[in-house]
Amino acid sequence: MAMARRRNVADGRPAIRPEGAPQAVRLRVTALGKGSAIPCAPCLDPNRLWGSACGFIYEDMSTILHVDMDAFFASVEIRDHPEHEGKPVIVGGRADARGVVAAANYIARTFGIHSAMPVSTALRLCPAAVLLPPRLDRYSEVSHQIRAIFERFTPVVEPLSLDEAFLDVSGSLALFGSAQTIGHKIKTMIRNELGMTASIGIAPNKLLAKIASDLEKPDGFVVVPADGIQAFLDPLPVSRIWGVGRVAERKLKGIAIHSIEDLRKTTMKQLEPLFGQKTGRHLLACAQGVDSRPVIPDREAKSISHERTFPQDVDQEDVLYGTLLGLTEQVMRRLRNADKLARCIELKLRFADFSTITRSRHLAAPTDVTSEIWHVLQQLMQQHWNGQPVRLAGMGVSELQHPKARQADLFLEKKHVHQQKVDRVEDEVRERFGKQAIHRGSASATSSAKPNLHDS
Amino acid sequence: MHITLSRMDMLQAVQRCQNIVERRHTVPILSNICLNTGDNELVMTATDLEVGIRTQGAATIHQAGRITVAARKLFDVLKELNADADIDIELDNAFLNIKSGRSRFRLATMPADDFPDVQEDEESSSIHIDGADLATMIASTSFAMSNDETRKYLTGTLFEIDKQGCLNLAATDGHRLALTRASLEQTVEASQSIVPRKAVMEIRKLCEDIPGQVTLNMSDRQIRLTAASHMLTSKLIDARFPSYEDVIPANNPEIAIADRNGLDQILRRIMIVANEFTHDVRLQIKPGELMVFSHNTDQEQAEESIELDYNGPEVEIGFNARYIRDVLSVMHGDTVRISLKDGLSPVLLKEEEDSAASFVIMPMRI
Repeated sequence: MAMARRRNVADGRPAIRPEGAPQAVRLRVTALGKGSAIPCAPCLDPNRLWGSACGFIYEDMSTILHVDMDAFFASVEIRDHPEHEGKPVIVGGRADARGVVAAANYIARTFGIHSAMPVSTALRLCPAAVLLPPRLDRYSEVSHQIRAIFERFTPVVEPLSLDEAFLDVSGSLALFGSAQTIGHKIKTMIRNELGMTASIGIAPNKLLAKIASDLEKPDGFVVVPADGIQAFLDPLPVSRIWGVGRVAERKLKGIAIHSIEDLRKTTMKQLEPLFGQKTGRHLLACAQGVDSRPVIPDREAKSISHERTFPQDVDQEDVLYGTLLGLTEQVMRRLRNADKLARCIELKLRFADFSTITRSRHLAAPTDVTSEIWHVLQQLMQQHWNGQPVRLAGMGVSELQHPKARQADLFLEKKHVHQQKVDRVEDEVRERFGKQAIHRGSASATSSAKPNLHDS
Repeated sequence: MHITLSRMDMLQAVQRCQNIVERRHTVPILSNICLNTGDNELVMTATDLEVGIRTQGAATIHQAGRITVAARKLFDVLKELNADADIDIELDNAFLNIKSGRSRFRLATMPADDFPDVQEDEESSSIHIDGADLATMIASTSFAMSNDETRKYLTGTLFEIDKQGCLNLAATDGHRLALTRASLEQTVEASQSIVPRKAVMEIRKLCEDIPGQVTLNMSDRQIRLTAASHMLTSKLIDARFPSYEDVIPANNPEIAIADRNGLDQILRRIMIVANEFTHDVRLQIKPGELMVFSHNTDQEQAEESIELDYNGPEVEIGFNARYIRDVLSVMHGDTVRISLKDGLSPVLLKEEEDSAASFVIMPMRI
């Protein structure tokens, strides 16, 4: 593999290979999964683990992939219900329960249906559409399978949601060929093994990869070569830039900026009065295709959280607690998968009037035990929920740390070790037999509280 | 109400009350201090509904009365007044006029009828103990109290009268435990009370300020300290304290004796490059020598060794260095006696084998 020019993101200096570092890093494919102890390939630092966001990027190679599943929820449903193939399919809540469209397949989209549209509107546009209720657990299971495909090629996977993720394959090139080759293999595997299509963008950074994957949807495959960034960006409309919505687009049109090329050739002087200094700079950087954010794998995440919007506002204690317990189990499973301990717990509640509270609490010692975190979350609920109807409930953990030095407890050590074992067994059962295979007593009783999903 | 009293007496009393008053309480009158005339004295009370204090100052009573006034403001005024001059306080149409020398203040009041009683309730067993001794006992245990509201029962100090007629004070945050005991001269029924942090700290201050015997009354729900004419009451934390005796290692076979000051200084230095939250350091205990190591995620390292009176097998054990230093800082002797078993079991620290105070620290798994 030709050694690409490397740059340290933090200070912009050229990277220096640490003394004594191996010239080529051999990878063991079997160890790519959880808890991999592989030296970081990009910076060649033998003491740093791969996937630890070392701060190096290859600035002149296209090694960042953005993989975006096409109409993901709808595709899963059609695959599971082949009788709906060829029909317009909408996944969403019930029209009489102010449900919104979580996903629509491409046939449905030709009727003007799009995600986040009220289901009642969608059915007016296309009365013949098949409306299916969302099954989050199923999607998250398939999402897991997709992720497993990604991890055959690189451990540096940053999931954005259930159906899209960034991959950094800069450390995998020697093993699997160019990023383009890897991208094709991933597409083929998703098609052959899961029967679905994905759109892939490959570029030198996340910004461009995301724009690229969106360009030829569905079933797209767009590569932005490192020396063709301007040629790629210039003709595109400014609305392709993430964060440029209708309002920003209108403002830009007001100063005769339509394409990204127009934007690139403009000056801060013109942008600052409209957007302020920070956003102005950001827009210019985007127009130049500059983005130095590294791909941060889950195991380097700063926080992990889940939330759910209810189809109807909920004020029943058992439904709310049941949902929160389910969310806590999901979050804790991800935490353990990432091999982390959490020190801070956050509760999020949005009420009927859209007012939102977040309340957090610190633990004396970090933990990855579900029951310990759940205990604290319950205390937060008791303190901050006075029975008012809740529209959205969420929980998250943060201040994550590696488990290597853990303070043992004088009184709870035995219980803690026991609960850790229980969690591991539970994780394993779910891994092998699916998410529904095992439940905590109080979570299964309230599974009727179905979530309302928004496809992003 | 109209009284005259010495500024010094009143300032001290108001300061004691001031410690109890919460800056921002949801009940406005609780920011106030209640002034009540007694027999040639002014009685001052303050409470936050958990902890309450009643304290006195000698005064000349021209006219009896009761009123409440903002504690903070009264304290600030008294602080500024001439140290030696007497103060004249008179209630005038819902305002309190304070005169001293050429200074005149007029402070707003609230009626005393709305002020909650500082309860003196229930039957309780009482014990007598030297105030200075009690202050020392608190000093050597209170550092181990927890701040973790999720384990409310650990956020105070256990005041226990055991079957042998001893007063035991125990505090723990689940990671370390401090225990000290004093034998009582009288026999009292065994009891356990968890006293909240704020009350513990105020009891210590009162005991340090007021020499001589103090009286502790403990009932099911309340503890009361009487020191001279001052009285402090506190609700107890309504929970069970964990059975702390079970976690005090009784049979740790290996004994190491180290220089207390030397060990503290090493830990202080080595901690510089330890993780700034967990302060984890590694101790390597071998015959004649203790090595202390630390490192952090930036791959910085430190190590240092100290002589150790030890003849057992080599033991490697991890600790939050802060916890060891907390213990060393409340000891007074030249040496510390460490009994240990292995790298995962709690260690016991004492000054001497028969010292009244014991400290248990749970290791870190490293």
